[in-house]
Amino acid sequence: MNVNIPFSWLKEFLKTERTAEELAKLLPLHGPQVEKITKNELLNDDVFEIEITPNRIDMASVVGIAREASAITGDKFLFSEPNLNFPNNQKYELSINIENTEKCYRYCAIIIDNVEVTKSPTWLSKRLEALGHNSINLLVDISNYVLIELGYPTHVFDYEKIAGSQIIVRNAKNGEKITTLDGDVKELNENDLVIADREKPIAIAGVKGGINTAVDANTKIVVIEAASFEPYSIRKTARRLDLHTDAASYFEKGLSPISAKVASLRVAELITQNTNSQIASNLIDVTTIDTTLRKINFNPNLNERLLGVNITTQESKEILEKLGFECLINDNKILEVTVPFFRNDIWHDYDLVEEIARIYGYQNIPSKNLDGEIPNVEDDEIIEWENSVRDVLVGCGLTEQFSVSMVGDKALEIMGIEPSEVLEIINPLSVEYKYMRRELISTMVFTFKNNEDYVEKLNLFELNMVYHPKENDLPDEFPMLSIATNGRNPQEIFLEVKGYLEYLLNKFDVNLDDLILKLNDHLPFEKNASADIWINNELIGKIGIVSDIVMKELGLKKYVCILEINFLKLVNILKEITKSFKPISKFPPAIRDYSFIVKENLLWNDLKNEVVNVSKLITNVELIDIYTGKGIEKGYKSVTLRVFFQDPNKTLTDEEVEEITSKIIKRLSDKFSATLRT
Amino acid sequence: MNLEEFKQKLSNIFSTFKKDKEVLSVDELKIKYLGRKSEFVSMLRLIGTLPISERKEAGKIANEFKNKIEKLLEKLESENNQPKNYNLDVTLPGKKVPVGHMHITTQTIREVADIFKKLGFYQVRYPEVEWDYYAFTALNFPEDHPARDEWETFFIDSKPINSKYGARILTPHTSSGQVREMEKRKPPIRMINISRVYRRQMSVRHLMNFYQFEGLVIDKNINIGHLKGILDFFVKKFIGPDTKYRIRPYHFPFTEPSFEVDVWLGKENKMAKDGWLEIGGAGMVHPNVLRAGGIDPNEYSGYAFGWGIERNKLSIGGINLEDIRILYQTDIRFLEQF
Repeated sequence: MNVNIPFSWLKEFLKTERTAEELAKLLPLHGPQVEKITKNELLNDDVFEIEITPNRIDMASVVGIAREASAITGDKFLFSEPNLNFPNNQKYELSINIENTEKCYRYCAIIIDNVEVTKSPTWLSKRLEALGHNSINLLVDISNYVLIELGYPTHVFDYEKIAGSQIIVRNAKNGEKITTLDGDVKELNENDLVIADREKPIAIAGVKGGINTAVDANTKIVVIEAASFEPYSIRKTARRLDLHTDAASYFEKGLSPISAKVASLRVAELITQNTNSQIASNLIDVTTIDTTLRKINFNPNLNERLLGVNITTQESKEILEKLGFECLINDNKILEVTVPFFRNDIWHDYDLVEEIARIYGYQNIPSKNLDGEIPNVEDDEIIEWENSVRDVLVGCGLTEQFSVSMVGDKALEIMGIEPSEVLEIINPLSVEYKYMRRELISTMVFTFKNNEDYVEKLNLFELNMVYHPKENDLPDEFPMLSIATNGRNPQEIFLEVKGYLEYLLNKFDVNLDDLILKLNDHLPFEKNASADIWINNELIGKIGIVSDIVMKELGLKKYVCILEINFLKLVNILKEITKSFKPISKFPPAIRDYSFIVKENLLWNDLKNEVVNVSKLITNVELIDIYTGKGIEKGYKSVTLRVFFQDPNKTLTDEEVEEITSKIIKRLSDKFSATLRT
Repeated sequence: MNLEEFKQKLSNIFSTFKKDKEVLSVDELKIKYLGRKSEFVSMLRLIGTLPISERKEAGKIANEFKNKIEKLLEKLESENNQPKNYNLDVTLPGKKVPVGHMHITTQTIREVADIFKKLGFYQVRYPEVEWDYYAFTALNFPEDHPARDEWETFFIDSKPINSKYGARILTPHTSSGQVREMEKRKPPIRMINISRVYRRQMSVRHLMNFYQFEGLVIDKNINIGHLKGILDFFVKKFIGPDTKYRIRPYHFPFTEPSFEVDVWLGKENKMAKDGWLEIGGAGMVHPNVLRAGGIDPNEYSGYAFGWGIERNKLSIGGINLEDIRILYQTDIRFLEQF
């Protein structure tokens, strides 16, 4: 939360010669986070905007900042408790009964009579308006003013509207209703704490007042309330009722009950100073908890241990006293520290080290190099593999994309994934991002859709986490690799993507004979246009051409081929590859190209395997070209292949190669009725 | 014929050669003086007619003559060589080799990891879908405390599903790796955890998922001086050798003392507040966190820091990216720029 503090108001509590800029530069190094200074026209003054961390609600006020600034700068803190004259006898009756002592720690009340509900004087309304509060009437304005000045919420009731002159702090009844000052009707339950009179709730404790007891133009007698509540309960009620009031945001961070009294006195002081009214009661004060201050024994050796500098007992004492701690040095140079009431964040000796460190100044602590033993730990193996694979893929011309981990219903629909198969976020930012993705393919599809109008050709990859849910446990979370490209010819783009995969495997010395693609239908791919990817009899992923239906639905104009591989499975294969030296043949290979006419549906792999099996002297068979069209009968194709013949012990003669060639021709003729094209 | 005459004859042939080389081409000279029908070759046949005692000497002289002619021919050939015309146009564009691009997030992650590896840190990664326990409870966040709000968390479960670990959430910070790391190994610990984290936010300055890196050092006698030492090294390597930084006290439940680190980028930098860019939080590991990780805070101490990857990178480099949401929008026109 941020607070705005006008410089002139601050100076009512801090005697300082410093400029606003000087303070804004100095304070953040030691405590209050001054984010900026703005010149306020209305006040003709500098206003500090200061971020308050949740542990330091005691600083969220003009006095709180002044106190802190005084400790940091050494400038004098000018605050003192208001000194009021209370009458000798109680003119009005008011009983206070705290039924729930767990949730209400203290209730202070002061009655004032002969009030006039007028407009506020200019000095007051100006300050409020400059800080974004509407001026309403003097009484409400004073309550708001005290909140800004002291950081403590108070409330003002019309005394004559409180039935039975009784204030009861109790749990709400289930279904009990209250109309707030803003006119909203709120239904309460037994977990909510209310301020009630004999008949009805008159305020939601610590959150918002009720309209039934609000001050109005006819109000003559008021009750000032400054109470203290259990923070979590306030927070729960405020959240459930969606009433994020200033009061609630202070109470929920834990205000000291001790501050309640000062707040009530200050409200009473301001009311009596600004109208012809009189205090008409004692300070009515009911406290239900022990408010003894905490004590901590502090051994200043801890300073050296955590800060690396020796700050002596005496120095520590001086710093802590500036911050309002009381310190006694005992015989063993141990400090007996009493924590000031407003500091609800200080509980242990190490908390005191932070107080000492920040006032001492982090800039005054010298830097050191790590001199301990270097841990003998390797980097995460998967991360290293990711780095290597990314290098290879980028090196062969692919561009890496990063996408959001969440997907929506559309992604599930095109993938044919059931909602039960994905992890669902209960509070997503929007429905498009409500599931944790379990695959990268759908994201790729959308990427191509979004980009195809801008670039002719896209070659992309992504290597990021996917999430597979497990019942009552964290999901399986592992990296997935996706590679994709687009174009106008399905076979061509399929081979491009397969080519990237082969290049990758080649780079890591996987024998490509171990890579097998088997046709198998998967969404969102076209029927008979997707395959499982197997390496060494392990299924590691899939590849396919995005289906016509999905293309039409998304308006994709070009075909897209996408591959997806479980990266952990891939790593397991790559890890097992060991390199060993294979003797290099001294004799050059003989190379021959042949074109065969075969049936159009003959798979390359079948053809190739037949050729390889003809002779041990055939070391490699490569595809050169596939041709259909002019000169080739319908239903047939011409396949040109290149065969490598090599004998490790000698140079093969033409006659020897011719002999194997005849065997190849015969074998292919027998097996596939293939004929050599001449 | 005797040896003297043989010598004389060769000398005469050489004289005519010298005249001919001014007029005949290299090929013509080759045929005329060394070819099968040349005078020289017919002279070789005559060697057999010389007295036996002179034949060896004659052979030697003939060889010298041949070498001499060949050398001269070679010389002539290289002098006369005409350039072949390839019609090369050196101004034509080179053949297109596709250029791949690594995402700027990957590049930055590596840059950060490399800086810390120089100092003996090892790189790890912890779950993104995480238990409330590791993200909050073990990090000393009080139950239902307003501090948890600051982390704007995505939830998978609306209530705890595990008695120890609570509900499943998307981790809002890499700090959830702290206790996991302590459970995994004993000090000395010098971990750098770089992972994807999630916050319920989306604006030109905020992403709902982004990367953070978390440093954790635990050993005997670790203090804030050591943390400042790391800061000195990191800001100089990551931002520049003359980078100034400042430490501002702050509050995190899991460190004590806690602070934030700002680096000075200059008043003209748009991503910085008044010249200072807040790069992230740091502090000494809270004793309760050490205890949650099974480490005795009286024996060991440690520091931790957790900073964003993308926003810091994009703020410092003059990249001028004012809307950082484009990082995860897979727009090729963006991706190809890095």
